[in-house]
Amino acid sequence: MRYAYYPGCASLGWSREVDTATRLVCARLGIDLVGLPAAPCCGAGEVQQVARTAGAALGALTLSQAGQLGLDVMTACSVCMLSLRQSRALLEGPERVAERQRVGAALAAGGWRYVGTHAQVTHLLWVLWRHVGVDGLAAAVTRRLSGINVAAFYGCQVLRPSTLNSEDDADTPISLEELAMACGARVVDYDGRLSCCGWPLAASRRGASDALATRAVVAAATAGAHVIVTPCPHCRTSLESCQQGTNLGVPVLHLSQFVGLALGISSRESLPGWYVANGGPLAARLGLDFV
Amino acid sequence: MAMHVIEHDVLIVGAGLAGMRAAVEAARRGVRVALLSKVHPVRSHTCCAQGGVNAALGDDDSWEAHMFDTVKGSDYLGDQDAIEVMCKEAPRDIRALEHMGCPFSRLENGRIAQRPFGGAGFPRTAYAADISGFVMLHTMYEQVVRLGIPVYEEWYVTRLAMEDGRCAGLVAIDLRSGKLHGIGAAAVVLATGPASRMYAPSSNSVDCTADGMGMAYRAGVPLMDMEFVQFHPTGLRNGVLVTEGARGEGGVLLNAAGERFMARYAPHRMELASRDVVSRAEATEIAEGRGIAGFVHLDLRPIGAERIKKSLFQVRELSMEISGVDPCEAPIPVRPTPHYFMGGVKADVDGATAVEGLYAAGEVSCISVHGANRLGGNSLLEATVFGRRTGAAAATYAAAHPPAPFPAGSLTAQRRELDDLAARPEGERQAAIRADLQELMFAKVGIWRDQEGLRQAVDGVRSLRERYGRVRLEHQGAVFNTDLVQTLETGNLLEVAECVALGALNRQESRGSHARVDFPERDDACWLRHSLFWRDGEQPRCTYAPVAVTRFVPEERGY
Amino acid sequence: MAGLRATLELCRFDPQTDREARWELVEVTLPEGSTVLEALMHVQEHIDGSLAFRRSCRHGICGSCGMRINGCARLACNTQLTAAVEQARRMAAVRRLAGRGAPASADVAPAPVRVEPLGNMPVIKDLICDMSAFWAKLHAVRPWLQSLQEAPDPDRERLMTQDDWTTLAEGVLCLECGCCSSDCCSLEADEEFAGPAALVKAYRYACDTRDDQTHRRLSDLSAEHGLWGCTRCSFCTERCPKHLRVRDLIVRLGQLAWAEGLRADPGAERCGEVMASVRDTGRAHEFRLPPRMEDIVKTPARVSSAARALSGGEAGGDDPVPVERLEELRAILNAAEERE
Repeated sequence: MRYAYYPGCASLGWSREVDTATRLVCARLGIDLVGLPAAPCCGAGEVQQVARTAGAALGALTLSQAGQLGLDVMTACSVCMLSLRQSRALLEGPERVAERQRVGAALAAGGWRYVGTHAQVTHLLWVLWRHVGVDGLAAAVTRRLSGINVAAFYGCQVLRPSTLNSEDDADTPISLEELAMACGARVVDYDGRLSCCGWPLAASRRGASDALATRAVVAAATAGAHVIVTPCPHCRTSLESCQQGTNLGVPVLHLSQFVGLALGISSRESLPGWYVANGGPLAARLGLDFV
Repeated sequence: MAMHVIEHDVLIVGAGLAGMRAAVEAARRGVRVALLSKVHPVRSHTCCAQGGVNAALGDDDSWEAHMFDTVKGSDYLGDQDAIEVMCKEAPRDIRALEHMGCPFSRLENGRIAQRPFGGAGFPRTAYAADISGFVMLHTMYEQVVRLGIPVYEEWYVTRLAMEDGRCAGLVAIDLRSGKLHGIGAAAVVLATGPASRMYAPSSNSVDCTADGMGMAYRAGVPLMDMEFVQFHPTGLRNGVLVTEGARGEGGVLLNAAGERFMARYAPHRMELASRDVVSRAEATEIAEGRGIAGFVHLDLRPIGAERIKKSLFQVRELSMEISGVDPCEAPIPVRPTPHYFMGGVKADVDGATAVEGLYAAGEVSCISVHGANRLGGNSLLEATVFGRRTGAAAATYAAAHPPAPFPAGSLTAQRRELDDLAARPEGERQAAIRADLQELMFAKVGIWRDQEGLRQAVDGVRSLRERYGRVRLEHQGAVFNTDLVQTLETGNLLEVAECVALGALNRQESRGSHARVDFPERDDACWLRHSLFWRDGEQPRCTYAPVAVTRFVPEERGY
Repeated sequence: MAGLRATLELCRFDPQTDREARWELVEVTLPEGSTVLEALMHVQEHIDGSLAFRRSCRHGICGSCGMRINGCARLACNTQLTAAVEQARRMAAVRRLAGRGAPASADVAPAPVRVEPLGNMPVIKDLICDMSAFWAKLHAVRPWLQSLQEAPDPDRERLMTQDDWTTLAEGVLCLECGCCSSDCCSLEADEEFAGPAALVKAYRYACDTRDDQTHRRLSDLSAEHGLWGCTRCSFCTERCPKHLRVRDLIVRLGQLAWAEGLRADPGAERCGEVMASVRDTGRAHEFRLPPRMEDIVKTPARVSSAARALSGGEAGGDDPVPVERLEELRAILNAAEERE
């Protein structure tokens, strides 16, 4: 397996450890990652929210670079995955003639042409679930995460809209749970697994953002979760940061970090992410000597 | 119980297209108008109309041609003076809707697009894809909101309140609280829509239960032409319709042999003959063994997938959901389905009825502009034109006449009736009675009628009415008591059904949608007249009224 | 007669007798191809006359019968009972994973189909919600054609191109059923949020070429509880029974508002800051964008230590690796701006 790897700005920013963990996990599983040094920000939904052509052009660039390499794009960020898929849907969908004209004119100003038709966009979650597979992952596990209760938090953008995200069922997904169990962990049933972490509102409407994130964390904690696992670094940050000033204390790990643990990967580089919640108890359960 | 009586100048029962059009017109004249509806306005049955609304907008079209098509479509039972009013005023009324914001589909030149429809000699059916009634309804609702017209949402009218032979208002249940209210008004407009739920299957929404017809009938207003029930040719297995517009766009009807059988029944207009002709043709094909499991096939493939997905997208979705068929790939099984009542509360071109202060507009009324058979696209038109005219007339009347004193007796009488109903300890629930009525009507007062069957129908309805006299409620609660509402609705269906069956029994000819096996010819000499039904004790009394013939002498009707 | 058996788990509440909602199990047997609405009507007509729910057209055009089926807001009339039963089975299978290490068996008795009222609205009785706030928000966007032009010619319609009709049509088919609002996460967090249905209605008029109040409409929508309050959960798109791309329409409103210079909302500001950052560095440079990490985290020391650990100790190591061919990107973004 070989992919054009697209970490996204979060994984190169606050969530740098997600990038580290993703690379290490892929290396361990024999997934080849090729860099896209000229791939810009996906737009993060923010550019798209105000500028249609610019948003689509950003995605077109990344897709074209992957297309030139003859590879599909893999990211570990749900926002990046959805933004790129939305760009792709515009450029390949029923309105593609008009879209390619508009976006193409912008790309041409930078000396680019859209050549991304054959570049699909996928997520580490789907690569692990569909291509490595639950059995394949279980076979590669060196440290079974027994006795760990996982609350799987999917977040919005890896599931919805289901017209673009069709790998798992949007209302009854099971991929995260199956991967967690392949790592030897148990999963909890709780009320927040499909809800929103509120991250898109964090900058402008803190109260609403926190309320959404807190609801999910409280539900996970009530269900006895030792850790929340999510495929999106923004969800990770949001669910983590809403706990400040509370005693909720449920650490939140990105999927790459959690799987990494089961593959024997644990280091400050892949796991320094407990900004707020107390990761001590989890670390103790896992026999990690640092926090 | 406090007898709180609210008062308005004009009170409109039913917030579908006709009711809201009337309300907007009345509001423009500065009177205190209110709407009352048993569902939220945008849930009204108007939203189910798919195909479009007729008007002679085209440069090469004329209201006279529209009028002729309508008169002929009515099998010459329509009142030509009223039809003339409707067809003359149609173009301005449709353009007025567009000015309000109604999003009609367009031609390349930017003008309102029009498609061919059944019985029409020119493509004059303006449409919005296949959600025409839906957009017209929503446009009208938005005008109601703009004008701040109050709406009694989810109130169910049980009776009209009469004082000295004049309508003084009505009595209604606020479904949310279960409380009974009297509302006084100088003018009451009935715009309560259809009655086809006395049949099963039916194209109608669940709540199309002849309420307005029933309460007007009980208040002394005659019902007219009740025997004329339109069977729409293309209903899906559960009664939901595929619009006639599908045939207008080029869809064809096929029998089991893959033959376009309409060539044998209507060689000129084919699938776009009038609805009664097409329905009878289908019923004949099915009865003579050329159907497909009780259906015929509507094949939309000649239209092309692209056009289907653009202009008939709802049809496609319904076909896939209800029948499991994608019309881009395969023909849709369809059959004649009870759909529309040409008859109703007798009203004139300004909605006035035999009772002072009481008006009627839309499908609940019978003016008559549809006579023995309605053309597709003329119902939305009737609701628009006569909704407006009736709103204006009711407002004018109300401005000149204060409401009559509200008869407290109606409130107490209604209270007593409801209490008696609630107190009945034993009896059967309404569902079985309604189901039996629906089955009886479909079997005996259907497309093909005969003396024996109609006699059984009349007797059958009478015996069902007796059963209904012993009906009981299962649920006594006050809040949103659906059991109570459905029970009262069934009472209206039964009362009106008796007129339908009796009218069909009495009319010894075939005309339009009324087809008598034993009297297969149209008989203008004896039967070019409207049937009227008056409540007279427990059974209807029938009289007759002449048809207004002005421009077009009745002639043989062929398509 | 071969039939379809299902168990419904109905949420019941009668304000006259109940202090809180309760669940009731009801078994039904119905013909193949029955919808959830047909099941409910069967219950009401033959089993329990007290059950209350809204319904009318039974074919997905009137919008009456919105309710949560297995927790997902849908119209009961176009939800096949078999599909609901299957979904309930899947949900039960996922729930059963909790506490066990092995995958759940599929051979268990059919899980009941949960039926409850729409979310984000108070319940009046059983499956009937009080939608007054929903309607009020719709009315608040002034959903009627507004034009300062003189009264149009009564014998002429206003002209509209077919393309303009197609754009407008995207927002016209909203049934006002409430399914989107029911599951909207922004509404969950802020009950004053305009909500997806009101935004779709606003879009329909903002895009109507016959309306000339677009700027004012967009300005109203840019208020505190307006379009910038959308948390992008896409439940609206997912739930819409008419398959409207609701989230995309909300995005379109944001694009239109931005183009009109309506950029004061903090949500709009952030979008602008991300765009500026991307133009500047090729990345949404998290360390320089709101929300500031210090606003979120009480222990900035942890942050800096993590950053320092990765970079080797320099403060400048906060910056991610720059994007190559940045000049080309800037040219592209400039050209894109001209084409918005």
